Amino acid sequence: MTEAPVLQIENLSAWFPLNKGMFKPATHWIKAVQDITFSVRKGETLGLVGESGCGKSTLSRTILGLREANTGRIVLNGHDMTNKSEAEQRPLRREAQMIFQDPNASLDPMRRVGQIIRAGLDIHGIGTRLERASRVADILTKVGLDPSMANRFPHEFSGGQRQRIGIARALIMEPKFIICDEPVSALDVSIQSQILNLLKDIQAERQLAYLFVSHNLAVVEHMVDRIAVMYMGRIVEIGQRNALLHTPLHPYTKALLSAVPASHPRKRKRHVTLEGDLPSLLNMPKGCALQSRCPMVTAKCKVELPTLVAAGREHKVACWNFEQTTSIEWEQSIGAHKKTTS
Amino acid sequence: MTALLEIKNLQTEFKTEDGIVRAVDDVTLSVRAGEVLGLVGESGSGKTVTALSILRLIEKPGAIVGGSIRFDGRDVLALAEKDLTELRGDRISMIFQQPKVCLNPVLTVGQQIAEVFLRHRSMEKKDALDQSVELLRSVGIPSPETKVSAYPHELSGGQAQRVMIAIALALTPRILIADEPTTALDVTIQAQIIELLRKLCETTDTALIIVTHDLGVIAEIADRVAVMYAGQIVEEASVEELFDTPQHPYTVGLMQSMPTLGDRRQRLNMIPGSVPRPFHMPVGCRFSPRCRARVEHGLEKCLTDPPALTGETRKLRCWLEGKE
Repeated sequence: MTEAPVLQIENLSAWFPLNKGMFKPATHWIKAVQDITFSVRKGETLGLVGESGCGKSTLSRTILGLREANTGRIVLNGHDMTNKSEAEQRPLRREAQMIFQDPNASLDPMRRVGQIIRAGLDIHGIGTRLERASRVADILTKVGLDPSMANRFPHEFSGGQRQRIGIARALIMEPKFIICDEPVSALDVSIQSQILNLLKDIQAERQLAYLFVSHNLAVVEHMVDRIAVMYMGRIVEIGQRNALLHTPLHPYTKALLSAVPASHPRKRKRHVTLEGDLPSLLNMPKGCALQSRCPMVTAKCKVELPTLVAAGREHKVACWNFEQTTSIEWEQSIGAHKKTTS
Repeated sequence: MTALLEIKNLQTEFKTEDGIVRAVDDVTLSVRAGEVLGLVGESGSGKTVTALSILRLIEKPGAIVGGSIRFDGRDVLALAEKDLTELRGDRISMIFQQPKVCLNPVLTVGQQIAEVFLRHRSMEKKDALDQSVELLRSVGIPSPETKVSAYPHELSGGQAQRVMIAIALALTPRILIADEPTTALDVTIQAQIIELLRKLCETTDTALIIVTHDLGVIAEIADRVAVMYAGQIVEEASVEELFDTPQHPYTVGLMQSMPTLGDRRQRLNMIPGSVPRPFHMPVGCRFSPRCRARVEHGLEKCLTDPPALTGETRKLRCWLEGKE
């Protein structure tokens, strides 16, 4: 039970400089990811939820070392990645892979599928030519494709098949941790469930840890064990899936849940929508980032930034007023969700 | 009870290097005043081409090659270009998936709304701008007096879609066609836009045709739904009937493959295979290669004879109808 987590990140921040010149220091910073701390255990899926621009993708890229962190620590499989050189990081990075949102954009159209899947093995110099080829064949079978397809080009495949190729490319490195960045949102509805089931099967078989990034809460509920909600670069609530979905504490989490479309025309309801506009990341207000849109805003919210505090077993929230927010109206709308079964 | 818009056996084709693709094949639909019709299907199902055909916005190498479209008693396919301009925007208007792409980046919001009045109604420029402010207010844009002189890049995605809706509703059309109006928007903004469309249709008696791949959006807003697959309508029903008792195996598959909040299933149902490619349309029923129900019933007919869309208020295109 006390096994070290596969991924642990502490106080991670990633900023983009503005007006930076070759010899000129940046005048401003876009603080896209601020002070993020969480861990993902073996065999576990952590869902990362938030709207566009909240920092989900920057966070993913930072974890994988595709961009540098400004502050904080990333510990992958017990290895601290933060102060390591490129060469030292490289063998460790195999353990973390990514599945991308758009399978059309993330596969090189000029390369054969076999080459695309094999690229990681080639770069890391793993196995002989023959061994690599047989691993590609194995992995293609694993993701539900025919090994003979290795000689074809990406355009010869449908969207769902291309996403399977993306999954094969991630799996061939035998990672312990995979970031699934909106893996089904570019796919047709009838194909989505194929891919979601495949991801679950592979996880069960290999005890993989997933970070599952998505804006679709129904998909997230189906896939994950825990959920982290991001808003304007910070985690505002994190907890066990059921606790977070059934008793959400942060006003933003509530608004997100309320915005999920009804699953049946008889369950239509008025949505609790957030009014007002998002603040600019360039010019963040003092205090809570949600203050301009929050229905529960108080004077304190405008001066002091709320920090994540424990609100239950493994449930944390960053809101000054969360204890007052469990309204009856809210309970009712969740009750409607709970009844949904097919 | 008479239909405002009546489409019969519509066929729209596109000429390509490899041959002719029939994107819409034998679509029959009708819309009444004040009604919300959902047109649901996956990419390539022909839902957008159907919507564009209604406004005759199909450009070469595409063409409407068969069927009829009647709006308010008039034959849309026989209209001259001049009369079409009157139909478009004035009687039937349309909004699209990506509002920011549709707005002109070098004109202010007010200019773009006012243009509608200047072109369709000979209105004074000042009056047109005043009207624009009112329209912006009615679609829920905060401080419309200042936003009227904003440029599109100064708007958020949700605001841009509200502006598009304002432009589309400027002349109080009888029908609004919305092609994936919320797909590019975040979930909280999507909820706002759906709320707005629902309210506008209720108050103005405008009919809404909403084209989407998202059954959630359909459940939220539609009165009646037509499900499209590979260029054809496979099922049509009231929204409650469709969600209570979906009949076409494709509709059933779609509903079961979609996770919903509160769903406790460990595994999702899957529709095997993928959508047929344009030049590889199955001979019989277009869904037959993916249809589990066909295998269960061992029906050979599905593989050889294309089924027709049958029924009065509730329609179905399936040979398995009535077989349990």
